[in-house]
Amino acid sequence: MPEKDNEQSSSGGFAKTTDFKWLGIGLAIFALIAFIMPMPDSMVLKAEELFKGQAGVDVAMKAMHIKIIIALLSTCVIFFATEAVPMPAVALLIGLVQLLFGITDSRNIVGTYAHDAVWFIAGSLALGATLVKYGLDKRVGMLVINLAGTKTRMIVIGILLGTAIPTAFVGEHAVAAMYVPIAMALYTLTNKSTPAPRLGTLLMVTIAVGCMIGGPMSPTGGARNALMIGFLADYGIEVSFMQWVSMGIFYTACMSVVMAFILPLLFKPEVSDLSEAVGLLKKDLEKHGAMTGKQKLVALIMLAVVVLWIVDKSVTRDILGFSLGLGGVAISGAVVYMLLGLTSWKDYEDKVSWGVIVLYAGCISLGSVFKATGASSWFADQIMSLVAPLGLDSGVGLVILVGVIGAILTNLMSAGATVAVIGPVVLDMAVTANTNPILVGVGLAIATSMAYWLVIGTPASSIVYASGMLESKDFIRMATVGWPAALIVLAIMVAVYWVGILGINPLGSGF
Amino acid sequence: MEILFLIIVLVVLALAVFSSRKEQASKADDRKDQVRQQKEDFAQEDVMTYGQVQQRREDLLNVLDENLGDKPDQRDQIKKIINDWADLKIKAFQDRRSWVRNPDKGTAS
Repeated sequence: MPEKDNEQSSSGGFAKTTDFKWLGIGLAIFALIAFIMPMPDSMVLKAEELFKGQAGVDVAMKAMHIKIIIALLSTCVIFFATEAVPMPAVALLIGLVQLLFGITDSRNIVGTYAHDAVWFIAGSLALGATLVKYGLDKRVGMLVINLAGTKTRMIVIGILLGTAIPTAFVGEHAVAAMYVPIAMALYTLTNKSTPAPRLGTLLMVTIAVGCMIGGPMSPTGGARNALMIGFLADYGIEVSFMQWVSMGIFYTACMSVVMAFILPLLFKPEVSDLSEAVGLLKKDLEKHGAMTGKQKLVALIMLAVVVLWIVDKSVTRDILGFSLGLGGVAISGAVVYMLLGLTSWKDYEDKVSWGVIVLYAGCISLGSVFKATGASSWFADQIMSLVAPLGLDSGVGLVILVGVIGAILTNLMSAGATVAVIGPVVLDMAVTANTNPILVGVGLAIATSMAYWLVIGTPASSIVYASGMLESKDFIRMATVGWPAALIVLAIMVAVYWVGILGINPLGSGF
Repeated sequence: MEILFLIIVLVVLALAVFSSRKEQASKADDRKDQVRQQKEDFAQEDVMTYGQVQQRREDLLNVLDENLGDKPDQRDQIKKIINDWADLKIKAFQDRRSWVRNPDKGTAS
C-alpha cells in the first residue's frame, strides 16, 4: 500500500480546510444553546449549589458560564464528528471561548492546556516515530512469522498478538501499515496455487481487530488513554503505568482468545496450512539480516523508558522524592534519542503529528473548564436522573452503562473525541454516585476501542480496507459477533477481574 | 421548552455524525479504488526483475561491443543510455515492492 494513502487515511481532520456549511451549523448551535435557549432552572440551582457563598461570585453569571460550556461542547461534537474545521483550530477555539466570555482569566488560559498527559502524548508519539524509523515494528512482524508456525489458525493468533502488543506502544496506523504487506504476501503466495479470497479477508480483518484490542493494554495505547489519565488527575486520582496495564491486559488477552476463535469461523479460510507461503516469506524476511547496533540501542532505550514508567511511582519516587510522571519519562526518552544522534528534530517534525498534540491539549482544557464551571456536574445530574430508574446509577452497573455508551459513540466519532466529550461527565457521574472514578474512567477508555462496525472506525480499519481484500460488509459481519463479545468481556472484566481479583473497591475513589 | 431545544440539538448532532460518517466512508471507498487502479496499472506494466534487467543489460552491451567496436564514442554513449535504462528499470521494480521484499524501504539502520 502506498505510504501516501496511509498518511491520508490517518490524517483525519488535520489536512482539511474549513467546511463552511458545518462551520455555520456548529456556530448556530452554539448561539442557539448559549443565547436563545432559556436558562434552565437546574443550571441556576447547580451554580447556587457550587458557588453560593463564595465572595464576589455572581451566581447568574456562573449559571451562564455552565450554559456556554454546554454550548461549546455541542459545537465541539459537531466539529469533531464532521471534521468541518481543522482539528487544532477546534482545540484553540476551546480556549478562545473561555477567554472571550470571561470564563477563564487570560493569565490562566494557557495553564488549562498544560498537563502531564499532553507531555505524555507528545513523548509517546516521538518514541513511536523513532521505533518506526528504525523498523523495530517490522522486527515484531518478522518475529510473528518466525514463531507462529504454518497453520492458518496459529498465524491468526500470531497476527492478533503481533499487532495488539506493538499497538500498545506505537500508533495503530503504523502497525497496520507494516502488517498489510505481510498479510498480502501470505495471501498472494497461497492464492497462486489455491484461490483463497477468504484467507485474504481473514488476515486483513485480523490486523484491524488486533490493532483495536491492543490499545487498551497500556496508557501509551492511544491518546484517549492519556486523556483519561489527565481527566482523572483533575479529580486528584493518579493512575500509574502499571496500574493501567494490570487493568487493561485482561481485555487484550481475553479478546485475543475470543477473536482467535471467532474470526476463522466467520471468515472460514480455504486453506488450513500455509507452509509454502510461510516458507517463501521467511526467505524474504531473512534478507533483512540481524538487528543492527543502532536498532538494538533504540530498543534498549525504549525498554528503559518502559521500566521507568513502571517504577515511576515506586523506585523513582523513593530515590528522587518525587515521580517524573508518565509525560516526564516519555519526553526523557524522546530527548535521549536526539542526544545520542539516533534521530533528529527534523524527524520529529516530519513524523510526529503535532496537530494531535494540540488537539488533545485542547481536550484537556475543555475537560478542565467543564469541571471548573460545574457544567460536567450539571450534565451528570441530568443523565443520572434518567438512568436511576434502571438501577444503573452507581457501582458496577454504572461502569457497564458507561462502557456501552462509549462503545456506541466510538463508532460514531473517533475514540479520542468520545473520551474528550463524555469523559468529564462520566467522571462527575461516578463522583456523584460514590462510584470509583477509576473503574468508570478506564472502563470508558477501553470501551472506546470497540469501533468495530465501520471501515472508517479506526485508522487501522481504513488501511486494511484500502488493501482491497475486504468489503465494508465484512466489518459488519465481524462486528455482529465481535462487538457484543467485546462488551461481554468488558462486563466480566469489571465485575470479576477488576473488583473481584484486583480488589478495586467499586465504591472507593482510588486503586 | 427545554425539551424542544434538546430535541433540536440532538437532531443536529445526529445529522452531523451520520453525514460525516457517510462522507468518510465514501473517501475510504475512493482510496480503495485508487489502490485497486494502481495494482491494475502495475499488472499492465512491463515489469522486469533485477535479474532479468541485468541479463538484458549484459546482452545489449555484448551486441554493442560486437557491432560498434570501431566507433568507441558512439558505443560509449549508447552504453550510458543502456545503463541508465537498466538502473531506472531496477529502481521501478524495487519501488513497487513492499518492505517485506525490500529491506531498505523506509527504515534507518
